[in-house]
Amino acid sequence: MYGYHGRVMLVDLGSRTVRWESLGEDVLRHFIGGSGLGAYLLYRYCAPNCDPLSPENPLIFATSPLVGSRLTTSSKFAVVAKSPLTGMIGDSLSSSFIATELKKTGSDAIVITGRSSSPTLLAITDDAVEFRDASSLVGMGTSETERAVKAQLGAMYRVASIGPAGENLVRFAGIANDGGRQAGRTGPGAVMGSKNLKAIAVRGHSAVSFAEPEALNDIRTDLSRRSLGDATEKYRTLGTMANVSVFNRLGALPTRNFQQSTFEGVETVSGETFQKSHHVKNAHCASCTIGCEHILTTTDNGAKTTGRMEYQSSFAMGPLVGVNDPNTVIRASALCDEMGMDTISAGGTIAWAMECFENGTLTPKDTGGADLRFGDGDALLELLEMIADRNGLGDVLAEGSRRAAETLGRGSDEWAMHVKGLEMPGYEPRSLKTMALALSVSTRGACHNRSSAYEADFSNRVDRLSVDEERGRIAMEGEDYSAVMDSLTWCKFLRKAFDDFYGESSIIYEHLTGWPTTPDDLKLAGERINNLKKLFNIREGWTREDDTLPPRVLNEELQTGIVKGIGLTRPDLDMMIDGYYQARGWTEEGLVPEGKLEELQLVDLVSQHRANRNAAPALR
Amino acid sequence: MTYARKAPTLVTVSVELFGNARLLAGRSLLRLNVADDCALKDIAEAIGRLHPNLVGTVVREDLTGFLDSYIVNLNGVEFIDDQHQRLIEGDSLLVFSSLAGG
Ligand code: SF4
Repeated sequence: MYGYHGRVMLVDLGSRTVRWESLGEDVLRHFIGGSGLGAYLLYRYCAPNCDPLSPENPLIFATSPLVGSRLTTSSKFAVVAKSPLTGMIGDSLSSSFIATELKKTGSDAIVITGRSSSPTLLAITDDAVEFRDASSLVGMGTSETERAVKAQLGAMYRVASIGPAGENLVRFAGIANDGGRQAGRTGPGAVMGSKNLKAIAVRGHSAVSFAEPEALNDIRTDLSRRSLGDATEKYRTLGTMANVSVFNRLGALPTRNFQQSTFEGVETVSGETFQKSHHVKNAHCASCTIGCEHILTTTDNGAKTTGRMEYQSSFAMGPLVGVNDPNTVIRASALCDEMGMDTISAGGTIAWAMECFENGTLTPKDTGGADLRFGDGDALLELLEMIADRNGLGDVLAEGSRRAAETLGRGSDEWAMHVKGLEMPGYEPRSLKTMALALSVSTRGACHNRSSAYEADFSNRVDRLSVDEERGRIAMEGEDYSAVMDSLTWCKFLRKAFDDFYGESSIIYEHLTGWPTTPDDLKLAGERINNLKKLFNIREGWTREDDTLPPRVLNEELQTGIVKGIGLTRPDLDMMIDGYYQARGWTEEGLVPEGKLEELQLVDLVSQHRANRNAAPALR
Repeated sequence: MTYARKAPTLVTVSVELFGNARLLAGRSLLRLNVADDCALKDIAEAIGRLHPNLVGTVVREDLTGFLDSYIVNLNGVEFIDDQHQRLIEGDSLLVFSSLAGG
């Protein structure tokens, strides 16, 4: 077999056993790798309706046929598990050297189940798996853990680890690798923590062969050249932080828990300011010629902090919580990385708490005397520590905004800004209507990355301020395209370098694997993967009511900027959702009909699990 | 009866620069006096002449328009790709990266 190893490693932490199962050509062609292969393995190995923090929830690391090819931006992997935030499918992508090393261990994916009785470091060297005591690593931050593991095993090992947040089962904890890259969203770090698994270290020597290495060499050169042109200019100059001032001008920058969509303090936390006054250097993931990572440093008299920054972190630690001090934004983002927490969910949950405090729903008695006001950078930093340690109010916030609002009550769910339990990213849905639809229907909750629907809103393809049924088709096409990207594991920032994404990717897939592949094969795989993710959610208790947006978005009009007075009504959202289900060929209730299962060749996989569908009530 | 085309009049429009365009120009706002029936390429040319370091980075080398990596939005509402856009006094043209998202 070319491009793949054709097998998955299954590790049981409870019994400390390891076995391998083969992955056939059909499975690999149907689900490709990364996010798609991870979804397949989750559907197969996750006990229906299990508690996401139970030993039965598999934690899956999946690579792709592109990994190891050294094609630009290809060194990526997906982490997939049932999400402790949403109770539905959770998948998150990260990148760099560990992806290549994971694949060189001789498997296309690793599925980890069970729970270790004590803190464990899983050391995988090719086929040899060691369950090492990790007691000495407990309490360490993610970069500290990585350094300590390398000191133990050798610098050539690549490490994925959790910080205190994952150990303490913060539901939005992430998994860090390669000096700070994060599989951040949907809480995979909490799943890892629930297994008493502090870190995974990998080292391998089994590189796969590719079917047409010489053709791939030529493509590598050409694609690298294209990756340095106009198509990636933004990522190489200001990075995604360039969004801040643009979104603000367009009334699409969520501010103070989505109470406004413009931020008066935008200048000091804009990409332009970060670039001018805080930029140290750009960095690259492994096998990447773009180098979008912006390393920033603080410039005030406080403790010197240096860390990565991108748009979502600068939004979540800045405008979302009303903070306009760039040094605080850098510190807060670096703190999240070190504690191992998703910045978007951390910021979203803290923004909810700040609003609760300002409107009197939370009192100083609830906060231990702390003043939780928007714009208070010290309060932000303190709360992040409290969440990671599950200390005081931090224990409630560590559950994410949906559960925190359920615990507090007092109507605070009205301003808990999440979809299906996952906190909203930095895109104001009322002024980006295609994005509004995509956020509401995404299988992983309020996710901007699995549809790229913002592309339509930031173009003349649609009127971003109005709605129509056609948005359904646009969102669907964006989701299927993203599924192929995330399964081949291209970096999304390379997307504009392709003249014909499906055409070029199908040729590359063919050169990698030797399997004849058409653009339509890949398109169908994208559709199949999204349908399978949906089928997983249905199995776990999803209903149409879950495809919605926070009450604030549907009940309040925007108050500032050029979008003042713009809102989104429930009937308008429903109309777009109907259009989306129709485009997908689903029923009015959003269910996947038998005919669609047949068309996507999913019948066998689904029927194997159907008997279990009603086995137990869903735990979310 | 004779028909005469209305003579173009001069209007003042603002150009708001974002991202790398702003850093390269060293300013966020330009004011241009242009004909009200001017095309986007005329705007691009005016910007290029005012800020030569935006040529090849934001504006095409031959000044015939903006590079594909940039997009132009009229008044924060409408994205423009029409080369002949009618402008009125006080319009704002927002110039930012065409690479959405992140
Ligand atoms: S563009 Fe950025 S995120 Fe993508 S692979 Fe390169 S450095 Fe990593």
